[in-house]
Amino acid sequence: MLPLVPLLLCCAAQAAQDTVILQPDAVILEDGSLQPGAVVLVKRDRVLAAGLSVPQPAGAALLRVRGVLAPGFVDAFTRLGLADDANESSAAVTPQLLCADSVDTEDPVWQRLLEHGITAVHLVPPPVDMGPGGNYSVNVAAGWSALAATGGGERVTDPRARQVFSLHEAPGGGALASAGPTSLPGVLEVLNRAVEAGVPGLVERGALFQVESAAAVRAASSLAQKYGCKSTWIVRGDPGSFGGELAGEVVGVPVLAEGSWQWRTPENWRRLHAAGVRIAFGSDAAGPDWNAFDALRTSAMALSRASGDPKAALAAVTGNAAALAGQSRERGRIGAGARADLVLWSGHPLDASSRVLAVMVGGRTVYTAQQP
Amino acid sequence: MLFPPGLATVRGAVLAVLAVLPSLALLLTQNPPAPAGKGQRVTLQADAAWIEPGRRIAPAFVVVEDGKVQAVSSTQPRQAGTLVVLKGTLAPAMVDAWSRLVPADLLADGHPLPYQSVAASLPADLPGADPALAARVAGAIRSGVGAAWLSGGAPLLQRGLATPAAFSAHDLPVAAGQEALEFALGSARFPDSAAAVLELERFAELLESAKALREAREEHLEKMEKYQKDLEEYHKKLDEYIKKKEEADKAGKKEEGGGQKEGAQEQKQEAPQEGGARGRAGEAGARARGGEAPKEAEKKDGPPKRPERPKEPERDPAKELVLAALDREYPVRVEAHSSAEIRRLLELKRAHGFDLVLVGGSEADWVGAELAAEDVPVVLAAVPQHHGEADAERSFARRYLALRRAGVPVALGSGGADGAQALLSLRAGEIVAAGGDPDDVWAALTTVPARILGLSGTHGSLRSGAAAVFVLFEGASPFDASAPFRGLRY
Amino acid sequence: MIFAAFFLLCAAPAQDSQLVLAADKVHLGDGTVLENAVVTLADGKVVAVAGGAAPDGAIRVDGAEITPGLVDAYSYMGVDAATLEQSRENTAASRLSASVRLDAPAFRHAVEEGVTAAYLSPDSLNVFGGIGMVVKTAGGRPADLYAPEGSAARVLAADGALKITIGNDPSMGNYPPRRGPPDDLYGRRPTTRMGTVWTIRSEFYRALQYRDRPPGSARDADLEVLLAVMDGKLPVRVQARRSHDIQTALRLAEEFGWKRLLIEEGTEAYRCAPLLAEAQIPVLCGPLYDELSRAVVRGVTLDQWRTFTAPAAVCCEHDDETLPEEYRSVDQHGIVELKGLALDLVSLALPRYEASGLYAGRRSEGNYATPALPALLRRAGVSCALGAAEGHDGALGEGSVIHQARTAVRFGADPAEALRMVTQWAAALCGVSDQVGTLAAGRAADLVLWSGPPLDAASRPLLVIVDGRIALDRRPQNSN
Repeated sequence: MLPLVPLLLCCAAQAAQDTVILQPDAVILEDGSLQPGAVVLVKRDRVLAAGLSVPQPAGAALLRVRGVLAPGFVDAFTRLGLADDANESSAAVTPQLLCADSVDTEDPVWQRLLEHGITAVHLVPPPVDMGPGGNYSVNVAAGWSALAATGGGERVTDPRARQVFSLHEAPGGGALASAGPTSLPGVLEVLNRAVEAGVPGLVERGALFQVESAAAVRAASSLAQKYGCKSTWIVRGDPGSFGGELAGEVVGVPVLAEGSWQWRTPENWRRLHAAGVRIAFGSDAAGPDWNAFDALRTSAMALSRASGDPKAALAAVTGNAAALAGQSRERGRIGAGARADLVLWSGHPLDASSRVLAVMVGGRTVYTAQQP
Repeated sequence: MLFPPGLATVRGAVLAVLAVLPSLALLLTQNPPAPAGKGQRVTLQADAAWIEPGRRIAPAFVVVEDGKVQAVSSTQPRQAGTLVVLKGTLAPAMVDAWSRLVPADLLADGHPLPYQSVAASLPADLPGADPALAARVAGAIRSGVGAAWLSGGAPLLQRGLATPAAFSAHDLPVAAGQEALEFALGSARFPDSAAAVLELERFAELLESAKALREAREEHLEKMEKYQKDLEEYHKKLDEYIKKKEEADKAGKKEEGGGQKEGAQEQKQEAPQEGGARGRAGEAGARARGGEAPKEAEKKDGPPKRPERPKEPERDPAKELVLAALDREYPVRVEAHSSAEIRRLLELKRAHGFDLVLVGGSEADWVGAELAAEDVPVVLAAVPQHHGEADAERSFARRYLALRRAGVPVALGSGGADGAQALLSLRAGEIVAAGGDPDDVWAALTTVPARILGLSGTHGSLRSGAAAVFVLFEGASPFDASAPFRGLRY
Repeated sequence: MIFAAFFLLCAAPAQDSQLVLAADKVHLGDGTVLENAVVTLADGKVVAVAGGAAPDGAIRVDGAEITPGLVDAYSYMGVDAATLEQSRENTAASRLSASVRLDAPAFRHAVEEGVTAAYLSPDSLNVFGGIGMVVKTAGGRPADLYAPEGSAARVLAADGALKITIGNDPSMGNYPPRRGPPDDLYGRRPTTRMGTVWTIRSEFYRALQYRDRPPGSARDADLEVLLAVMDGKLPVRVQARRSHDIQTALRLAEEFGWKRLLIEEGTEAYRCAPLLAEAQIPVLCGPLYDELSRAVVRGVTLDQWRTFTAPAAVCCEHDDETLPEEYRSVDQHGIVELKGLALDLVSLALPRYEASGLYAGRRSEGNYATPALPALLRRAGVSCALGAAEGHDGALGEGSVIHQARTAVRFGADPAEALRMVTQWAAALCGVSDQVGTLAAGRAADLVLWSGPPLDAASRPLLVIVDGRIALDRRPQNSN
């Protein structure tokens, strides 16, 4: 219990004074490097500064903690915590739809996510539903994704994170119920019409394209360019097939073995990484499956092993994942201006034998682990 | 005590990580040393070696020749050959206690046979014999796996004879160690189905019917023994009869003799065939013993009656395998998950006396004491194939720890998913994070599976004679993914 | 026999004569109880309620108590799928009065349970179900049953509230076909909870556009109902069971300026009770019965509750022991009432019980149901009333509102408040408190003479009077 006590104290200290300096054994800084001896200055729910030389305002409490302080993990896309794990399939275009309306605020999964060091999840319904009789429908403009915090205060922190578009060549292996398109050109036509009709907030918040092929990537890029909106991606096919197209982009990669497991191997992730893609891992989980909670970290560790680049692997579950949800300033990093979503690990978060000691969300300690 | 023991380890890990990280970028650019050619002696010099759980040396010199470890020491040997300097800790490669690194035709659920043999289905150890399989094996070696159990995985109750394998220079599996007969009980094949219960009874029936087959065969052998004696007697009598007949013919009745002669010759021609059959049955001794007088009533002057050959029991290669397992020629590897099934399985083991390895065992921790009493090892899958509800109280790590507390030997396997070997050491690390002892967990990836698979001589520890397949890691442990880790082979 | 007598009594012309009833206790419905009081009825109204000795000719049964006729705040009597228009998702303008079956057996069952007025809610099969109504459970002529809206003698309020459903009900079982056009109307309906909310939101946006329509354009009755809601002319009742669905309703109320919002069922309302209290949103608690509460009613031991609170194995099937005295009281009929800690445990235990995974159907609605809902809501300062929902159509008795009130008391509700939840407060939340729900001069002559204390599970209605007429008479033969 020894390493935890100070962090608990920190919670108490904050009630009296809202500025604290956390001094763990080491801190994972913004660039992903592990910096021994670094400190983090936290004021209320924000990080003011982090590093070796941090200004020490008068009256700030200095709290030493044992362990490595890392940014809270962000699940780049998942359905955990959504009361309905299906996609809305009554219409092909539902850009006003809010994922936030389905967020189950009382679901026990929030606590489980916290315990695994995941402090935020980006809720995105998948493009394809698994209904009776298999895949059956796709929502071309699926509505707004939501960002939810797993602990502390408000659950949904951003009900309009990204406008989600799905560009699948043959949506659901057939037509959507009434007037859904059956081919990629058809999807593009529907999408163009929808965007032409106006999607409030699209340009400011950006689009999240779910794609399966390089052709879809090209089509989506030109669409984004035409309407002047930012684009991020979720790839659901063979990642190797469009590595070059997406170089430099933030790309969500599903990690759980649902559907096309054959692409979800460290070797494929390595190829994607080698092509210069900024990988963001999404558990893509629909429910509290056996590995829904471990999947993110396990995948990051596997990517680290496969690519030999632990910083990129860590970014896949922190900075890049936050960027996918349009939150790169707010979350996924320990640096000036970021939310104080911090996880204290017993060692490097990518060391499989490390464990979560405590979790802070928005400057409040919301979880402290029991000694195993 | 200032630091609880777990905490001290944690602190050690942190410090080690800190020490390693600055040099990380440099190391990543370094190419792995080229494998040595045949007959060349190479000495690997590493910062340390984890010879086996509980035994470390630093620094370490490992002499390798002909793909085998010749010597391990902490001082530089005199005849070192080429010296290769490696950064980090050298440890034996892991043994994946449950993989599906088998040729594609065994992966497809085409026409499974309950007696299919994995060893017989492996490609010849030649370059290019099975490039797809070689690529998958190469991936496993890169992940630090040096040998693996190759599960046949036919979608049947009886899955056939599967084998452990080492990996050849062409990245192909080569059968080694102890083959075992695989079964998959109901819970492994029909989760959440009432059919699971029926499957368990089918398994019990299978064992019984194999025993019945043995009894039938023993009975058959007894009958054959008697048959052989009768046959000898018959031949003797026939000879006598023919002699008599010939004498009688000579005495007078010439027109009848021709037909009799032909008949006798026909019967004589059969005799060598019978001898051959006898030889196959392995009852050569039967002829040597003195025979009794034939009991059948014969007419004094008629030809002797030929004894009837007893009917052989039906041949069933699947049951014969089960029989061999009951005779402890092969251990039995059963994939089962529900605790009720495991209990019944232990009952059957006690009743029939076969060697059992439990695979899967989602609920094995509930019957840990019983498994320990029977000394049944358990193979847990690090990456289970089917989805299940996540239960925080019964996570993979906690189940492992519960089984170990009960004294059950546990080995970890990748569980069969393709590429899952990459996750093997990472999932093992979760056990350490949950409070497991690193040496004990490392044993579950090396010495314990090597013992279960009958590969102790060549895999699982760094001793002379061991296969020259290693993992090299620069972090505090092989579980650390923030520092370089790779599989090596010489 | 009983039913035959019931019909005869209905037909008897009792309205002209004055009826005088006396009882040991008269519950006025607003929480006050008069001892040894007399109730005088005339011309279908209450003339006077006053303390005093029973005059000659007064109806009196020893030990009996009088309450106002019970008001069921939320029910589906005479309502079924056939009364709901499903061809469009928004049928806001459809009124139940056009299709409800006022001669349905459920009304008769309700009278037998002492219910004299009920709010009828449109079914929850589409998102905008239509407008509910408040009716008497007895009286009126057959011709009234299909009279134009509002004019029937049975109808207390024709325009109750707009019914909107959030949650699984409108989306359950809707799957578009794999190929080709939808082969039935379910193909176009929302398939998820968020799709349901999207339907609500888009219809209200359409209503806002409709308000600014150019003069002379076609009228849309459904959108006008939505405008009435936003203008505060019509309350809106949202059926929502899960906590987050209730929170969605609160968000929508804020977004579109719904002036009067009520939550129907509100199974998990206790989990967001502070929000409801702050926004002053009342809850019409639905059926308090579920698998777990049945187990609880059977009597649970403290040890079992402790097991409940641990995420380990739980067993609520044993009923051999009961809680220690400080946590319960046993009434004369052997029914356990949970108190103090035990009550807290009910609310604490449920989520953990659910999380333990032993409760089947993990993600469906209603898994967090607790019969302590009214008690927990009142503790947080949320006003509430009780409704039997489908109860009257099902097994007799179990689902009736008096049974709900008794259950609420057993699980911690204040007895006086529990009675108000089925009389005064229910009438107020249905918008008919000026007519029914309390016994006061000028109110409708609806009352129930109970064989004993109304919250005693052994008591039953001896006499039910609706609009001054005797609707049910089960008095013993020898009483006057």
